[in-house]
Amino acid sequence: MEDNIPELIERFCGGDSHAFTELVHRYQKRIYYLAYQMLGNHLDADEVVQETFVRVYRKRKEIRDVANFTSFLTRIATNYSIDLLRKQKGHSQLPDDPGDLPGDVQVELSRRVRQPDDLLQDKVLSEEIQRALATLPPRQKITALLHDVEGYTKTEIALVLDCPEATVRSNLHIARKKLKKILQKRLAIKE
Amino acid sequence: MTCHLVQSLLDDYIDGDLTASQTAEIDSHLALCTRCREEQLKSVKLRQLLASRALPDPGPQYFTEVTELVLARTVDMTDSEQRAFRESVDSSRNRAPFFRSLIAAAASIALFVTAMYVGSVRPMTAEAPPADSRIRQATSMVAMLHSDDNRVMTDAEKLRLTSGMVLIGPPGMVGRYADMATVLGTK
Repeated sequence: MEDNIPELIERFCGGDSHAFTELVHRYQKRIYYLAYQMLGNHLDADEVVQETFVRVYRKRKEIRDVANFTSFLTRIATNYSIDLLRKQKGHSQLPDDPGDLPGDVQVELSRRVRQPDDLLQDKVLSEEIQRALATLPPRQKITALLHDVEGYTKTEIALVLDCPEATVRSNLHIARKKLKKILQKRLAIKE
Repeated sequence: MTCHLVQSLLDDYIDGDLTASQTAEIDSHLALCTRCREEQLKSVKLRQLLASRALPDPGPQYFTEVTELVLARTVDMTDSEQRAFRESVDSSRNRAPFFRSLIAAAASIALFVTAMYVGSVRPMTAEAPPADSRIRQATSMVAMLHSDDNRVMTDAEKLRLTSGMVLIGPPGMVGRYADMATVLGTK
């Protein structure tokens, strides 16, 4: 029977390396995709994933509140992503060409088969969204991604970003306003 | 409720963060106001676009490798090895900007010294230089500025001097100043 997350965290904090390995398995995809959306390329996302878990491992003795482990982990990932964004030089903020990614790469769109034209449309749209996100300051970007993509509540985002909830609301409102303006053609309501 | 107020609350309305009475008021307004309804639909569509965005999948092999790399840097390392690793990463990160600044400063000083040397070996005179010189010696700045004589520098000479100044470039452009001698005809 699979261990639940709180048990794994308790065991990890107690020094159980198998529990840590399991936590890496369970959270790495979430951290990767969040970092990818923040930074826009595989190399930087990869760096964030590795660095996040290394830092969590180092800080294992500081973890007091098992219930907020996800926020704790996400906070490390977002802070590191924001640092990288501020220093970002050379790495493009446009999505990678699928041919450049490792392994058996395919664009994961949905469980159904997509036609080539649909795939191309999705790629174009994805790049357009990435460009729009790239215009946002780091904190607004991460707030919009955590809320509208990852499904975090405003309270959870406030914990992750260590700021008041009012700041989260404000950043979210401004980010959405900017994105709406940039993506207005995509959002045009057809009669 | 006014349209301005409704649109300012739309985000919270869609997120389900309003009270029951506020929600009911906005529901009534949206039933009657086309403009606000359109804004609501755009807001909903934006969330859908962001949430359904296609992202590249790096493949299962990648995640297996990441796990191995993370374990190699954590569980498989002793505390002292981890400390030494961290110190080496931190010191290389701290060294790089310092050395970059040092190189930029050295290049600027070298450029300045070269400019001073070139300036000092070419006498500043108000007399017309020999006709066969590739570039006339610079007259004093004051004489040049007040001179109506267009023959102080020919157009070709002006172009060559401007090219030399452009080639020199801003401080930190190591190596470019080396071509100055060719441009000024002292080589």
